[in-house]
Order: sequence, then C-alpha cells, then structure tokens
Amino acid sequence: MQTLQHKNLLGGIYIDRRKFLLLGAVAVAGLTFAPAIKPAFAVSKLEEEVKKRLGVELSAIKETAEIKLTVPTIAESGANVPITVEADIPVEKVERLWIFVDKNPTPWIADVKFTPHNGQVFLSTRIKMGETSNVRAILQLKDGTFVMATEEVKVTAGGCG
Amino acid sequence: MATGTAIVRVPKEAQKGQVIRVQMVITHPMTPPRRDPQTGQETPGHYLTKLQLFYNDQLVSEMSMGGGVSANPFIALPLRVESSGVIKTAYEDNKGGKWEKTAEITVK
Amino acid sequence: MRKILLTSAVFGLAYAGFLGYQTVKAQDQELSPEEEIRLVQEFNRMMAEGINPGEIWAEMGKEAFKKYNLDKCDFGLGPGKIEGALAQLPRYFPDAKRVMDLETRIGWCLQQYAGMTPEQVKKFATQCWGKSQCMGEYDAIVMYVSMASNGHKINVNLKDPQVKRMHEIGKQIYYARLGPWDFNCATCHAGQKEARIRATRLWSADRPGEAGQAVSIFPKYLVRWAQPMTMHYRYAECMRQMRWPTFEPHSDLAVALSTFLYGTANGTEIKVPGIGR
Repeated sequence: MQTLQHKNLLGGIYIDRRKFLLLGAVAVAGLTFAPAIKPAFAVSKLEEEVKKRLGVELSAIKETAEIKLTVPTIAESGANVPITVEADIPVEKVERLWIFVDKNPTPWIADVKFTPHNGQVFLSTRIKMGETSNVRAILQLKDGTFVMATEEVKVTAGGCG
Repeated sequence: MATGTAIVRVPKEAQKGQVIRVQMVITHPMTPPRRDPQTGQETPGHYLTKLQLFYNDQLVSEMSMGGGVSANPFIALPLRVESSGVIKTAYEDNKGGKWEKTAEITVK
Repeated sequence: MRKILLTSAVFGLAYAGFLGYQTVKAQDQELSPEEEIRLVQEFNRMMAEGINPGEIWAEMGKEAFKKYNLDKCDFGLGPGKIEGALAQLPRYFPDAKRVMDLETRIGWCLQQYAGMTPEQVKKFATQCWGKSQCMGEYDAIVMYVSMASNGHKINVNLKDPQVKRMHEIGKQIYYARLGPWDFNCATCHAGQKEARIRATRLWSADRPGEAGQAVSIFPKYLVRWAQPMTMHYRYAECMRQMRWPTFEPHSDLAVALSTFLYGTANGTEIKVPGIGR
C-alpha cells in the first residue's frame, strides 16, 4: 500500500489514498443530505400565518393548474402590483380565496368569501410587495381541502422620475 | 375631497344569467400598522378592513384586507346577474370609516 | 479518528460552498436588457387595466370647477367649454396677451373669477407637491378639464406666430445645457439611440410619436405617491433632478416647454389619466 507523501491542509499529517477517498465520500454524502435536516425553529412567517388562518400546514397544500394566477414577472414598483386570480373550479365548491406574499412583513394580504351568486371564482386587485417574493393564491374548498397556485414576482428598483 | 370616494363600474346591460365584472376603486391611504424598531412604539395604520358586494340587497361576496393591499385600491369581483337591479359596494376601515357606492344594471 | 472527522469537515465545507455558489448563481439569473424592458412594459400594461384611481380626482374636480367659478373661464372654445379644450392648448389668449397652456390658463382664470392673488394661485397649484395621498383641488380641476379631451387629437396651432415663437423658445430651452450639471431635457429625452435608467426606457423627442405618448396621458397617476402628477409638477421635478433653478408654475418657461412638447405631439390622441410608478 502506498502512502501519499504530501501534506494536506491539516499540515504534516500523512494519510493513505484509501482513507483519503473514503473521507471524501463521507463528506459528500453528508452534505448531500444536510439540507433535509431543518432546524426546528426555522418556520417561516408565511407558514405560521397559513397555519393560523387556514388551520393547515402550507406543506400539505398542493399546487393545481386549475387556478390561473396572473402577476407581472417584474414589478418596477412594489407599491402597486397587479394580481388576477381565476379558477376553473365551480364557484359552488369554493369557500374562500386567500392571497399571501411570502416575504412581506405580514404575508396575509386579503381573502374573499365567494357564494354561488358570484358566478365564478375571480379576483383582480393591486397588492404591495416589499421585495422579490412568491405570491400565492390559495383556494379553500367547501369539502375542507385546499389547493394553491404560486408565482414569483421580481420587484426591481424603478428608473428615475 | 376625501378618503372613501369611490367609483363602481358595471356594464349598463347584461343577459340573464351572465357573469359580469364589478370594477371598483376607492381613495384610501391603506397605511399598514407599523412598529418603530427603536422605540417599540406602534402606529395602528389606516386601512380598509372590509369590502362587501351586495346585489339587490343580498350579500354576494365579502373581501377582508389590510395594509398589504395598495393605496387607492382597484378591486374587481364577478357577479352573476339574474334580474335588473342595484349593485352596492360597502367599505369599512379600521378607524370606523364606512362608505357605500351603488350602480344600476338592466338585465334582459 | 479526529483526523478523519477534521478532514470530513474540510471536504464538507468545500462542497457546501460549491452547492451554495450554484444556488446563488441560479437565483441571480440576469435577464437580458431587452427582456427586462419588455417585462417592465408588460407590468405597466397590467397596471393600466381596470380603473385608474386618478379618475376619482376628476369627480372631485367637477365640484371644484364650479366652486371656483371656472365655468366662466374661456379655454379657447368659449366660456366653460372644456370638451376638446386641452387638445388645442397651448394657444394665444388676447385677453391675457400671452400664450398659455392649460395650467397657466387655469391659474389666470382663478385670479379673474375666483379672486385669487398670484401668490394664492401658486400656493393652490403646489399644494400637493412633495406629498403623497394628497387630494388637492387644483390637481382635481386639472384632471377634470384634461379628461374632457379624451379621444381628441392634440392639435396645437403652430401657424399662429405667437405660438410658433413659444415653440421655438421651448425647443431652445429643451436642448440648451444649463445649470451646474450642464443638464437639459435632451440629456434624457432626446436622440435616436435608445436610453434607459435601470429598467425604465426613456422616451425621446427626436423619435416620432414618443413625445406624444409621454404628454398625452398627463395628468398621470403615480403609484409611488398615490396621487396624480400634472405637467407643471413634472417640470418642477425634472428641474429639481437636473439642478436647474427652482421652477415657477405657470411661468413662461412652463408655457414654452408645453408649446414645444404638445406641438411635437400634434396628432396624438389624448388618453388621461396615465399610470406609472
């Protein structure tokens, strides 16, 4: 067995090739799984608000293509971001529409109670965004389930004037 | 010249059973509550808390909101019209402000 | 054993750094300038949908118009006639012996029919300058009168010798480098080559139609101040940013610039209020 005759970063310690490769493999494997280990205290404000207002975990809400969430890709100003929500789901099945902005100081923006007299699920309005963030439209259905659409809006610094 | 001045815009006419869009805009600062990081002092903010949409005196839809909605907010909601009548929008804010604005529609 | 752990840590840190760099690089994907401009234009288009909050000022302006006796004011089409009035301004007014744009004419009529002194007019006209969410009667009057020309095409009479003279003066000022920074309107708003400030594309008086697109939507509702901006406020802000001497609303300087800009905009359809950041 050959011994690698070079100093590694720990200075003056000799290590053989096999150990060298084994250590490398362990390190890589460890770091690959590291992101999955979430510290218990890192629950985002968004997750807290969703839990508080909707009574469910954000992670339990599934994305659906039945909600069409239209927001601009770039907002030159975060003061007045247009948002339109439409859904293919019949309004009779819908209890409430919730709007959240992940990174706002208060992620909850608004919610709308629908009745069959609305005729369809639709909302168009203007919201404030403090920085680039996801915008979420969550539909609370009468059967107790929730579905969601998410889109990111990049909030940039506008020009002069 | 005041906070709470509103516009409601709907088509003049519609077919029975048609779903129209009720377009609304109202002047309001929509200032969110703030907490001074230095002194810890809180300002309550001044924002609309509620918008109710009525059709011939029946409550159709209700929107709850806060300082996350833009100043002088534009809001549009759908409404299925069955008969001619009056569409009423009613707003409330966190300081007890209350405002109403109506529009009429003819349904054939 | 310690050696193994320590070496793992070193390799681990290196790998973590590598992963982190990848993530940051992915998030920071720079859009091409053309793509960014297109997306910002899309944003402005979306903002213009629905009802422009500036329209509420026109409703308030209808009341103020009566309150200050402006139904006696002749904007060029007869006393109190506002439909199409903005479209034919600036024009020469023999009673005032001056070429006047809309705001200057309103200021003059406030003196004639509402008993205001020039100082009171100035205070009235600048009531909302530097503020936000300000609901001023002057801005409301300008919005009300301006909206009454919606659909009309700008038609400044450049054949009138007085108007032509103001147009020439306005053009000279536009292109004259002044002030401690040697700036002028043309610094930002002229030339054939496209210029921009961050993601905002600047219009140019030298490219056809662009001056028209810029002025035909004034007063313009600005979301950053939650209130409309009139042309004279726009001049004041530009001049402040250029470090020019302080602008006086309703001055000949304002009229000269309006004559040049609206004259260049001849043919453009008026569509008030516009909306922007």
